[in-house]
Amino acid sequence: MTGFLIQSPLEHYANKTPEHPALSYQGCELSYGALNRRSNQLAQALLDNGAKRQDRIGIYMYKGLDLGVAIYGILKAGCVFVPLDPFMPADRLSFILADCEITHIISSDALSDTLNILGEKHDLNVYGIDVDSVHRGISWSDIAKQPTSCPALPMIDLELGYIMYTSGSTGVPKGMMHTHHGSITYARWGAEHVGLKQKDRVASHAPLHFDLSIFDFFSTAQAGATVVLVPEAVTRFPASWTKTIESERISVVFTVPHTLMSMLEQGAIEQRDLSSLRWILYGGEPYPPAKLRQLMLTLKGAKVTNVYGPAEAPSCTCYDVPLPSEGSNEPIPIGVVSRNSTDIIVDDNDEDCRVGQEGELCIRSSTLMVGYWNRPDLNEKAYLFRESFGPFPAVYYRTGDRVVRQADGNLQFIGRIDRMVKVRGHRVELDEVESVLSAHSGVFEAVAFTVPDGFDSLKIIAAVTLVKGTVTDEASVLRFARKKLPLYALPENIELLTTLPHNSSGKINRKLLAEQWVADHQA
Amino acid sequence: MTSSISNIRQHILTDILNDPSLELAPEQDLLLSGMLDSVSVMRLISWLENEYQISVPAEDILVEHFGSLNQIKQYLDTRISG
Repeated sequence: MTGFLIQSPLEHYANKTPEHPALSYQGCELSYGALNRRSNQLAQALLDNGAKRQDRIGIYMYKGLDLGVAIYGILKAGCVFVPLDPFMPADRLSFILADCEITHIISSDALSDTLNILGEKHDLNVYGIDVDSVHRGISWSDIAKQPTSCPALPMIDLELGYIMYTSGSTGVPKGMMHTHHGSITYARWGAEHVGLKQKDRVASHAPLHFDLSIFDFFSTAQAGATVVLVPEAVTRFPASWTKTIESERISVVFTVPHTLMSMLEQGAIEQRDLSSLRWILYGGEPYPPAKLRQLMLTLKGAKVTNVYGPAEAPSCTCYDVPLPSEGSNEPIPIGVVSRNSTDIIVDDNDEDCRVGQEGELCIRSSTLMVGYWNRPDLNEKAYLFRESFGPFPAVYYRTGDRVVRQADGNLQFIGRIDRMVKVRGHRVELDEVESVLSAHSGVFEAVAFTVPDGFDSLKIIAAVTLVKGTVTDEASVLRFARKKLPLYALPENIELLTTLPHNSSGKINRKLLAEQWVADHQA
Repeated sequence: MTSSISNIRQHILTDILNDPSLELAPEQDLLLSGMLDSVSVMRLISWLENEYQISVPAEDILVEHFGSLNQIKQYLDTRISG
């Protein structure tokens, strides 16, 4: 009904319900009609300035109504949007710009300091800024002079819609390529599962570079409903966040357990009317059952779904959670594969596991990424092929997650097969943290490990030994790392040690380091 | 005891961010500059409660009270004198 491309629902509702708000941000709204016109103009401006079909275009912005214009403008120009975390250090941004050859960025004056640093190394057209800087700047008022018609481009759903970067174990981030087809499949799943209606007001709580945002923007658009953009600062303050739910009458939210747990503990919830919330989806990390029970007893009117899926295979399984029984410590299952996806669990030899046997979860779905940008080495290992018919194998994505299928059919998450960890919902490769620390000239050897953070999640701690004769301190190593790693991946502490403990096979004993750290910091 | 911006700044830089060499202006946005995340906000508040012998009720933990050093000082002064 609403077409094959990510922008098709926007165009459909711009015709059908042009006045209905597509986006809401701090009391201001942008209707479907206006969002469609403004994104057509941005698309025209991109093409005018030389953007070509499937060019990668950066979105480097804080939350705001313009964010929606950026997303759809890029897609309507036949290009690929690349979310760039506004809190990311300049070095990391610079890597991504070079990696996927970004020469056009949609941004804002609020980020002009970093844009200037980037402009020294990269040749950039920057859209949405008003100040003249080292870049070629194109302001919103320039863009508003463009025609409001959509550029007529032949596009099909197998083209890329977006590339999302995530932590990579070799020390640099890796970009996951997603097609319109995959994204629309994900969006349809979300809209159907939650039964989104036009009157729904769906929070955009997660940042754009986090794949939950695909649900927020595109599932919502499937129903012609409204996305409520939550300012970044508000997401850091539970009581501000609950105030926003109340004042914006938010009905659906997809977030990480940390947000929900702190909302219950520090959200001044007894003073708020949160009756508008009808569905809460969470993912990224397990939710402690006792805490989830507390949440569900407090927000009785809201259904809760545990959504599982790495950003390479978003929302591939889900579980509508019944109220956990009192005192239960039974982990919440990740459920069964979502509609239009299928799964197998394989052992170390890629043989199918029996019910009850632990193995790696592999997913086949049209929501799968088509691969990592520019990384044939990773793409070779990312998939499992099974004979299907003729020359066409069935392609499964290897999630790297160990799971077990319970007798009732539900999957239970066990852990990772590698060293990826989750820090309050953010994916971090500990190998990347170590590789960044080791790049400091004074560091001889670096290890990173996790310990409980006291908020039901993990925090990263590092221990380093120094090159002989080097004089440096923790602050210097941390300063160095801060330039390369996002805040959530930055070790909370770096211990300077004279030697690192090794186990019998000669490997660094990270488990012992973590145990020692916990013991030392308990008092 | 009155609150002091330099005391709070020093705590944020030394104890939360572990890097006294960073710069932090009184009006600088602590959140959008990426200095503090949700966990460090909570750590900062429990330190403030201890340091200034006050209690910060959940309904006061709002962006407008803790968005910058200036705002923190302003909020603390109302709590301390009240």
